[in-house]
Order: sequence, then C-alpha cells, then structure tokens
Amino acid sequence: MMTGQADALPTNDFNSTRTGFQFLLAQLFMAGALLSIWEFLSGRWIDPFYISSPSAVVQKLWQWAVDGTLSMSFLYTFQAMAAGFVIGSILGFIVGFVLGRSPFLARLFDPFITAIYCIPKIALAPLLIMWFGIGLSSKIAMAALIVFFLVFLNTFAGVRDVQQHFLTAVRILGANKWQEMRFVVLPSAAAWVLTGLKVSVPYALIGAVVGELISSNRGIGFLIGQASGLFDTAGVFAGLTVLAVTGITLNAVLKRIEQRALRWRTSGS
Amino acid sequence: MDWWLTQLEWRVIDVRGVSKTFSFENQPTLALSPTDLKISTGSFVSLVGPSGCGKTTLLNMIAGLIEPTQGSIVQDDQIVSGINTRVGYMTQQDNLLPWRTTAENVAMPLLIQGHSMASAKHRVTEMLQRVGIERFANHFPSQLSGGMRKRASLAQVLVYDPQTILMDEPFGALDAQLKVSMQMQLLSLWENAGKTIVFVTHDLTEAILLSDQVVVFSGRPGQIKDIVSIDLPRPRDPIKGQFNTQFQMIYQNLWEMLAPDIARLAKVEAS
Repeated sequence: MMTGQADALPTNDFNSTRTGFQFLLAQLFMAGALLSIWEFLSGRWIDPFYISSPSAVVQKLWQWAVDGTLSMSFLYTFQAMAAGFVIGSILGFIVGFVLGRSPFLARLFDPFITAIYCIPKIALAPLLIMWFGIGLSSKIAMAALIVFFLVFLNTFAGVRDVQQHFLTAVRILGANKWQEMRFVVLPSAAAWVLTGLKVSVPYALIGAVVGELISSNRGIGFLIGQASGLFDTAGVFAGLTVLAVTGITLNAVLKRIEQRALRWRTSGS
Repeated sequence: MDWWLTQLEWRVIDVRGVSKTFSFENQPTLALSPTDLKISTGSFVSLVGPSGCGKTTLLNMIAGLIEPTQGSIVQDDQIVSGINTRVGYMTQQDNLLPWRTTAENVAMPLLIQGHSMASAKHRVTEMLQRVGIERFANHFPSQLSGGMRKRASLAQVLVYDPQTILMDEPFGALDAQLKVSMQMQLLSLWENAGKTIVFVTHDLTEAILLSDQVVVFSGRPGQIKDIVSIDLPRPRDPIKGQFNTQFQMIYQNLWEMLAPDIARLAKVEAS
C-alpha cells in the first residue's frame, strides 16, 4: 500500500512524463534483479523449502490457471471484497454525512464510535464468523466493517471541512438546503470521500483475505492458508503474488478516477 | 415628475439607527455607532473611510450576514432579517467555488433560480464576453489570475441581474490599469441598467469617479462624518475624469475630511 504516498508531491507536467518513463524502467530493472537474485539463491544458498523460487511460483500459478483454481479463487475473493467495499462505503458515507452535518448527533455518538474504532477490526473476525457463518457473507461483513470506518471518518471530516464563506455566498444567491448540498457541501467533501474510498480498497481486500484465512473453503486467502498447511511454499508465494498484483491494479485504476474527479485541484495545465 | 416615479426612487435601502458591537473575550467593541443612511434606487453610493470604520460591517448587515446590535435595515419596505437574497454581494475575497469552472461559477446564480445549464449558457457566455474572459470559460479558479477571478466574480454578480449590488473593495487588489478597465466596465454596465450599487473602497479617486454620493466614515467607533454628493456629469471617464478641476476640488475636500482620522491612526500605529 506504499504507492499512494508519492501522489501528493507536486510534479511539473513536463518533468513527470519524462521521469515517469525513467522511473518505470528503473522499477522494472529492480524487479528483474530481485527475482534473479531470488532464483539464484534458492537451492544454492537457501533451502527452497523456506523461500521457494520465482520459477516454482510461476509454475504453480500456471497450474492454478490451467485447472481453474486461480479464476475461481480470485473471483470468490474479489466478490467478497467488492461487496464489502460497496456496502461499507455506502453506510460509511451516509453515517459520516449525517453526523458531519449534525454537531448534536456527532457529539452524542462520539464515544461509541471511538470505542468501536479502537478495536482492531481483525479481532472481530471470529465474532463475524459466528454471526454470518463460514461462507461469503462473513467475508463481506469483515471487508464492509473495515471500509465503513475509513469512509465514515473521511466523509465526516470532509463535511466538517466545508468553508463557511462558500455556504454564505450561495445562500445570498438564494440557494435552498438541497442546492447548498449540491453546489457546496458535496463537491467540497468529495476530495475527502474519494481519499477514503481510495484508501479503503486495499483494506477491503485485507478484510476479505483475513476472513478467508481464519475460516473458509474458497478464495485466495484460503489457498494461501491451505498451501501453508501443506508446507507448499511456492503455493503461499503464488497466493501472495495474486494479492499483490490485484492491489497494484486497483490502485492504478483508483488513481485515475481520483485525478479525473479532482481535476480542479491541479493548477496550471 | 409623476408622484409614483418619486415613490419608486425613494430610499431603496434605509438604515435606521443601526449600530454594531462586537464582543471579543468579553470585551465589547463598538464597531459602528448608531447610524442613519438612505440609499435611493438606481444610485451609486460609495462608503469611504479609514480601516476599521465599520464600512464592511455595514455592508455585511445590509447583506444580512450579521445582525445589527441596535436599529434595523429596511429594503423596499421589508426589514432585513437573516440572509438577504434581494442583494448581490461581491465580497473582498472572491467566492468562486474551486471545483466549478469559470462558466459553471458564473452560471450558478441562474441554476439556483431554477434554470438549466443549457438555458443559462447563452447568458453566461454573454456575461463572460462583457468582462472579457470568455476564453477562460472552462478554466478552474485555481488556473486564473487574480484579475480574471475578479472579472469572473463581477460576471457572476451581474449575470442574474440583482436590482441592488453590494461591493466590498472589489478592485482593491488589482493593478492600476486593470482597475481602470474594470471601473469602466462597471460604469457602463451600471449606467445602462439602473441598478443600485453600494460600493466600499479605500480609494478616494475611485469613489469620486464612480459615485453619485460618497459617504465618509470616521473611525473607532465608526460613524458617518459627512455625505458628499458628486455632481460630475455622466457618462464619466475614469481616466480623464481625474484631471478635471471639479474632481480636484472634491478630492481635496474629501481628503481634508479624512486627514484627522488618518493622522490619529498614524499616531496609534507609531506608539
């Protein structure tokens, strides 16, 4: 989840296109070098039992791809993640918006929300499995719970952050409550909400996988758990690879969406 | 003149014994002593005076953003209470929404009145052309210079044609040339439309060249010192107008009125 960090740095258009390509080359080179070292060390210096090897991992992935395990497990995990993300972000947005607009309710609920927020969500996984069973629903609940808090907190902060002088300006123009929302509150909070959504996606994946690791019979998390139980290091690494690639892809897509939605923030061009 | 015409011109904004006290850490400060002022329909009135003389406070009270401590403000026989949607207000800092393009910002008053973006488009384009920023219609405020943002704000306040416009140092931060060009635009728009404009400024030249009346405030606590009628012929020219002898006399007169206040402020600053 490191990739998001560099986004905030100011970049000049001209430089960023040029160095962007150079960075990509350097990154590919580093990845290649790491994989080569890994392949070289495996079997020569370090027992493959612990670190497997890139070629064995690729073989494993190929095997999963051919026998259908990969697509089935991936779809299962992705489903749990996507459903959890949608449910968690909708609820988080609604609650965040309502509490953000009402200082009274915000104050009333503050200690309860803080209390639940402070519990590591993963510690709630056993409870969720008791409630929702070992099927898909408990994974969805896990992902939704984690996403809820991230989106809630960001929406809440975003709605609170709306600048009063903008509200005053549209009120003088005769705006009603709904128009205040539409023209000022929602667009102003959008930056925060989008950040919350962006941060949530990897966490939704974490929620789904943790649920699967604790108790499941399907999904990428289950594959990793199963491979580990069989001392199949290549299988564990293959599962981790799928998760890493999923994470990178989702992040790239989200970055695009965010840039498009928040065009107004970048000056110049 | 017919009686109803005189009725129509009769004091659109009537400030009746209005004062304002601000409290800061239980320390009340009188920002504006009880003030009476009548501003008639279609006139251009400037409020001038030293910093902290209550000009902006009075403007904010006319806009209904703050409540008078005493007295009341009546506009067209209705007391102003709560936000006054019968005025357009161009504040010192522009209020362009950063997430809307220039055209979308200028269109906003029309959208609020219930027009669709499509039906507002023609009028918006016309306004952008009049203030000379039609080429920047699709830029966001962060991509505009200070002068262009001022023009966009002016277009926004003019687009929905409010009968009364309040302006708080609208051209204060502009360079001299841009200022004159904006003043010319404002004069030509005002002279054709018969609007009432209440204009706060620090700039005496600007006040004299634009206004029918200049209301001179003195500071701490703010109060009206005098109201000077400016009888320069219209249409006026913001550039040549300055070299006219009548202008010079009015300027000197106003300056003498303000001088004691400025001397006093200078002493406070120095000590």
